[in-house]
Amino acid sequence: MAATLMEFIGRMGLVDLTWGQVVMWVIGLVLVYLGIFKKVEPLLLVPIGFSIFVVNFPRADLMAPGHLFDLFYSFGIKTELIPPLIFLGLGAMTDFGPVIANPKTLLLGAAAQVGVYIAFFGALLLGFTIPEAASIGIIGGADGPTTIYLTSNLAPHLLGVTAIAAYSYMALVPIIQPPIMKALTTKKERAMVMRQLRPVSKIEKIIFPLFTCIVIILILPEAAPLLAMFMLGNLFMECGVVDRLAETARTALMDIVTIFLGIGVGGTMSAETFLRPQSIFVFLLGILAFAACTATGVLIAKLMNVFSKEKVNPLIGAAGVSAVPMAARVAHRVGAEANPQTYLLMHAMGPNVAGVIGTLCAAASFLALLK
Amino acid sequence: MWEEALTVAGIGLVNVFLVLAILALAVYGVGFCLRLVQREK
Repeated sequence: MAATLMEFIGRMGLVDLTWGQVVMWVIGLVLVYLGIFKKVEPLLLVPIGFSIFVVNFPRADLMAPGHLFDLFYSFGIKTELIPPLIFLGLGAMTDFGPVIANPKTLLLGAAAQVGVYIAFFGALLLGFTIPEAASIGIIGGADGPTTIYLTSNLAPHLLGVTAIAAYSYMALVPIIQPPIMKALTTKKERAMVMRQLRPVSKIEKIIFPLFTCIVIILILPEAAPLLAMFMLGNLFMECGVVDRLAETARTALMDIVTIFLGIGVGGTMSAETFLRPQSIFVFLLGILAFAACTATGVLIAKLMNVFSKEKVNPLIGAAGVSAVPMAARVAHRVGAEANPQTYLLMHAMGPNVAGVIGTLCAAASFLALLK
Repeated sequence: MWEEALTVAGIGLVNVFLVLAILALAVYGVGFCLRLVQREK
């Protein structure tokens, strides 16, 4: 009996518990706390944080090959299935009207991607390899699914940390962006009132996703998985005859894949893979990427004003990072602080949704050149 | 490594601007044509 008892005790996870695993519990529970009590991206941080917490129990083996959490990771993320499904839902929520009414804002979506490449070089300087640097740089685009998609292709060992950095910084848009926007603009520029956008017809909104697929996939075929699903979701919403599909894509399906994504991403964060100086560098570079994207968006909007007859409020350039619609709301709020007559929300939605396409193109370019 | 990195960044950045600029022109063009057709009607 004593031998059986000793064997039972020896099989307890408690015997193999390491300090690293306890630290990972703390990290996981901090993310859960931020999600629940501070409302920081709760839909993502709660499942990711909980997943980090439970995969770091000794002998639970949730991420062992073929085990439960590994199935979410292997079938959802490794196979590249979940990020495109999230894009389907995003498409069914996105109104491209502001981009169609003012296509110039597509260039602002591209402008904000300059920061991705600044952070890319920053990562190289810190000793990361080129594929790792690409996965870190893309955090600046502030697009969670794109970051996960690119990282799972180029640097899967960084998946957890880049995903958490991307989602954390997306939630911190209202804190990170305003000081940069104010530092790079004068009060007069921030107070600029923009002309109201023209109304966009339904047929234009239906043609847009089709046209976008033709233009982008012909040039960048690597963008096809994410872009095709994004535009399909948008077509569901705009065509008006498949409301049930649009509704499912943006609600039930989105919720289901978000759960799987959170579990899969959190599951990759074991103590051995996460507790390394590299992880701290990724967080630091992530914020550099994000700040650089904000700054380049504002600066290129100002540059566009030099050459353009119809001026834009440079604050909307900062919305070129893809955190939709938070970045647009921040641009609107900063503009309204300078001049209560300035109503930038719809104008900023243009670069904001263009930023999603821009980040997607930046990721596809990395894939084309590095995979 | 730096040469490869510069190539990746250079091509990538040009690609992003090129793709979105072409898309912007296409959206302008389609919008213009559609409004023209509607005016004709």
